[in-house]
Amino acid sequence: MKTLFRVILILAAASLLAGLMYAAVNTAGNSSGAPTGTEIRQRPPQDGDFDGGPAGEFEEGGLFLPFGMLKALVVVSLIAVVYFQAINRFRQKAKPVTIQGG
Amino acid sequence: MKNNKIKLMLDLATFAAFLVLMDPRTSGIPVHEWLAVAMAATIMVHLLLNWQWIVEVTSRVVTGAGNGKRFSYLLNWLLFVDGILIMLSGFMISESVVPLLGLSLPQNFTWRGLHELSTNIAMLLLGVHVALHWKWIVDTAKRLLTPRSGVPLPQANMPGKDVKA
Repeated sequence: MKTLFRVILILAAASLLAGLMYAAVNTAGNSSGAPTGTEIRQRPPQDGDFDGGPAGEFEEGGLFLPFGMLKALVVVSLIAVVYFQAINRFRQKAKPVTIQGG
Repeated sequence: MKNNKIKLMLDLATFAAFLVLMDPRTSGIPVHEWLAVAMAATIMVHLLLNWQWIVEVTSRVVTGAGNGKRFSYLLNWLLFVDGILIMLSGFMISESVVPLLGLSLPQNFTWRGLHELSTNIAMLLLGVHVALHWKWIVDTAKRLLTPRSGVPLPQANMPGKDVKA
């Protein structure tokens, strides 16, 4: 029962946030007058429109590398390392200097 | 011990899913979308497993909590909000899950841009989140790999060690 209440609480918070975001995006979209995807699709192609290039351009080729995964892994690792470095420097500065006798 | 093991396994699985989700061209759109739905469920369990910490820090964040704990709390909220934005924008541009439910959502290119932006922000926030809990991750993994050491497992949610989860 306690867990169910917690689940409902999390879902309620998520729904509230999602509702606010949805309203914000729709309000911003309506006020800016930007064309929607449907409107763009219904418009006939004009000179200078990007036609997408030859079909299947990215689907062929022998080399397979999951660049998205690698990028995410590298970025997350880098951020973690940068955070550690920053924290260590901050702690070193904050620490009082101790003189060891001996 | 058992709780920490479940937490670590769940977190590792969630992180692996996150990496796969970052490459929809490799996984394909249906896998990308259904895996995202599954990941939302694992994040829910992650929150439930750490509920005690959430409650304790929420009650003390204004007055009693230290700076480290406040930072961690703020970061977790940012991750939550960003996660909601990723899910919402993903649903709005869905090509597999939402059509399967028989729903038709209005097309809007803003959602695609927001989906990419929020995903990039999530990478940055997740990097700091992992760094904040790195000691717990390493310590728990060590204990699990050498379970007979007799040393108790560390408490989850490391930043600020005064709260007992």
